[in-house]
Amino acid sequence: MKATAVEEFQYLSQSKGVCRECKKIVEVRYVSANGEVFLERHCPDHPVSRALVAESLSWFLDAMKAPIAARPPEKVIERTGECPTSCGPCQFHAQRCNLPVFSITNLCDLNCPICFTYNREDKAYNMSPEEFERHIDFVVEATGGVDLVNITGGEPTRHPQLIELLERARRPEIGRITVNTNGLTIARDPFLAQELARVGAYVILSFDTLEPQISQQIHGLDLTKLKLQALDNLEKAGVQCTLLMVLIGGVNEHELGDILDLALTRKHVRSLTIQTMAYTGQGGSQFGPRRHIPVDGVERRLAEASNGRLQKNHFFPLPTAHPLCYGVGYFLQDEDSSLHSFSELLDKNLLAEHLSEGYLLRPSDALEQALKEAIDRLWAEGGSDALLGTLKHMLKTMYPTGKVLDTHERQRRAEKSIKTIYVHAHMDEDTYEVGRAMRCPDQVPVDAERLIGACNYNLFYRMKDDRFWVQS
Amino acid sequence: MSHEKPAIHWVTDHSPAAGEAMFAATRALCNLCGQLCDAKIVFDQGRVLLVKWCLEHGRSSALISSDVQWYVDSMAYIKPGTVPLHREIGEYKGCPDSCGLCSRHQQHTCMPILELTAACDMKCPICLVGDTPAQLTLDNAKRALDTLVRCEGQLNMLNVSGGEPTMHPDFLEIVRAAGRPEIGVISVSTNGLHLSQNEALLRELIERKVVISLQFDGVEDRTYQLLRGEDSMAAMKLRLIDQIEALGGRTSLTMTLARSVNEHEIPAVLDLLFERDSILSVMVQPLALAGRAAERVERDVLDAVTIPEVVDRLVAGSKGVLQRRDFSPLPCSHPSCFALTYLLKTEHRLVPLPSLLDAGNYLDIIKNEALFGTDMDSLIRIKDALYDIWSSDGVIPDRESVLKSIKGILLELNTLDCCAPHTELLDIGTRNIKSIFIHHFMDRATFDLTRVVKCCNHYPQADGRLLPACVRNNLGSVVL
Repeated sequence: MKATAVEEFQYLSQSKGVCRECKKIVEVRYVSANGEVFLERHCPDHPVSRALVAESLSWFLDAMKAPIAARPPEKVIERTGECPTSCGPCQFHAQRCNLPVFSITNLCDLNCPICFTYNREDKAYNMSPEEFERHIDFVVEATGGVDLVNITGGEPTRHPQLIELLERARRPEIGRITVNTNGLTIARDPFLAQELARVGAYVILSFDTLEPQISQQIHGLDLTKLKLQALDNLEKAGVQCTLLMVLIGGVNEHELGDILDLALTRKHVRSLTIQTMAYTGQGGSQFGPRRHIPVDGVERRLAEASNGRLQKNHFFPLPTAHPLCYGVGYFLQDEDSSLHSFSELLDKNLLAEHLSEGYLLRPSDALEQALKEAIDRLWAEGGSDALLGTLKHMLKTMYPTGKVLDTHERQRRAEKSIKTIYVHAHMDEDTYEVGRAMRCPDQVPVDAERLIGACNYNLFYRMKDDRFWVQS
Repeated sequence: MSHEKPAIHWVTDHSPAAGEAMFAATRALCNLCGQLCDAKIVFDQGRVLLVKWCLEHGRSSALISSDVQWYVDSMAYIKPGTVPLHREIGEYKGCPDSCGLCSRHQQHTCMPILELTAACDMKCPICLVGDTPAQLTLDNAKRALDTLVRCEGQLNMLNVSGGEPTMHPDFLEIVRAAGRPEIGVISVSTNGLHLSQNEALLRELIERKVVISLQFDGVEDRTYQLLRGEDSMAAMKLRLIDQIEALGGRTSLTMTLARSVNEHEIPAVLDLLFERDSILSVMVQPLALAGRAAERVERDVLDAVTIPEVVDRLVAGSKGVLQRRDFSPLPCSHPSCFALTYLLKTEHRLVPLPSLLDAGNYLDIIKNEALFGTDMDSLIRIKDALYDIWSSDGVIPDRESVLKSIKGILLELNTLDCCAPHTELLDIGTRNIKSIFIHHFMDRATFDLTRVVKCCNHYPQADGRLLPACVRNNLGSVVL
């Protein structure tokens, strides 16, 4: 008798993860089965279980070969335990902080069944402006400056001194301040939108559904009208926005096309972030059934929902993060609103090189040169006038003759013609793998002395801080 | 693998503070104390390093591939594992603590290595085994064979090893016991000293169709002085090859490759493979510091010999026979463990099989066997592939003599019946095809737990366990 092959199953690699049942750090494996890639958890005390981390093995293998822009952190803490118990980051962490994430409050006016954090109306905490500034100082010192800072919560608009905090974060070392919000306060209070515009904040508006019933299911309330009102108020006030959609398997997948349309048609919406549902935290850990959608699954669904405007290969892994964590697509939107993928205008490796600082393309001279070459090539190939015109106009505003603009100003100007789509997969207990955490550039400042990778923070550190944790 | 297209596979900041680009996390061993610890695989200036952090000793690292392009390309060479029929370990308690093989191991035993004894008539400073008196009794050896048959059903190959296996008092008895119908081809790993002086033994082995796997590090005495601590070995080795050939036997050469010792010997070893009909294969093993070697040999872990370098040296030493693209990782084991190629014998020269077959066909055919064609399955596959070449108009190098050889093989294969014994299959395979394998054993510095899970080279133990070679060599204290 011959030994038999395991049908369509193959082992790829092993690492460490966490057992959902007992929360112990256990061996995990990347395996493929029927052409898909799973993370398999091997807890000695619990049955083997799997979660989907890539729909396609060939995508996964290609993504792992994609360019890596590595900049280890300069300021680290002493490593006193194995990963993830000594995060700060330690000397072993592989990526510096490109996006500090500040939780400024533990208050929220919602109690969403999909929430992956913990909020506490019973024990209100609002970060004081002084404390906030101390943390900003720390981040600037630790990183030497960042393109982006993210303010989140809780619900940041519940913080009574939000605008003062944002004003304190306006400094030359910080390119841009983004504020996450559910939009409820902004919808009711147009003045807040004006204030946000005044301090130059970008708003990341949570926007998961246009359907009342689904809103009820995932937020506990029908927020659909308020969300659109918030978007209108932000537009009127001239606030630049990102729509943040949490894509939940079996719940709102069919709405991807509508929310994509909304992001593409509203002029003040600069980017769309599709965040895959992480089944962890106050609501998320109870939410079911758990159907993980991986990064390439989002990209495929986007392509399918876009009526041919987007293709899967328009997206590529963000070189500063693990490919299972972040994908990105850059699109030029010309005057007649049609989209042109940067991955068709420019070489993907060149694009990757210009993303070595994080999330926004670096408008270097080399990029200018490459864009000029793209224009020449398009012209020779008979590219559309609308596209050529848009490209030329973008270049002229980014690189005006006789005037040198700073990086952040160039980025702001370029964005007027660009739509960016980010795909971001947070990890939960099922998908947590320490290699992804080690490459994490999104870091949470803690005690003005540590920066902890966001998913490490969510899964292993938040519970050490009772401002952001409720013992269940 | 193809290596023509230079692509950026990583981007690093060129400022002085820039470090390595991390590819993946794994578990590995501290270079200093050998404790399991967190590790990461990083790309650094075109090379691949394994970087570990031990809580006691801090950071240590080792070179695991001299070529990042080879490394990332190799990751696509994967094939589903095959489960054994039976596993000796019932309960998984974590990898590698409950090794031997447990239910979570992802490959069966393609290449069992039966270590008869740690005794040896040489005292090589680079010995992987070391100075232990361990010896398998005849009964335990038979029991180990039973275990293998229980786990595998049918074994294409069995390697009898040591120490120096011919030193075992029951050596021949064990070889005879291994000659059972479930076990195909037997090879004996030997330094050759004893065999070169005992023609009766050599004759019996050859009559039993045993392949002599001869430790052969080069043709210069200096090489053996440095690696084996013996003054004049080269002439003996060459004489033994003649002797085996004269008796109608077959040899495969195993070359341990060490930095600054015998890299320059590769062309001479390849010449022997190319010229001598009785030499079936060359196995190149970059030096791994386990066992005695770990205590006696010092080496720069950042300047170790790794697979892409061996490939390049083989290509350079092949007088134009080999190209880099002729080599591929072995997909059924972990892609970092092996690289190999097969060569078709034609009238005038050897032609690499990958240059004749399409990649898909070729990957189906290659197996973890330094000897080609030990089972009917792969012979049928190659027969089909050869028919394709025969009947196609594709451009192939040296078409006429290649086609003539193929016709010869097809004729031979067509005369076989489906139940032909392994040794007969092997005769056809080895008459027509030679192989070059590179096997990168891991040592403390290069040990990567990811690779172990798919290991197919197993040592049967007296207690019934089957231990992956690199687990046995490096984690003896954990699992034994």
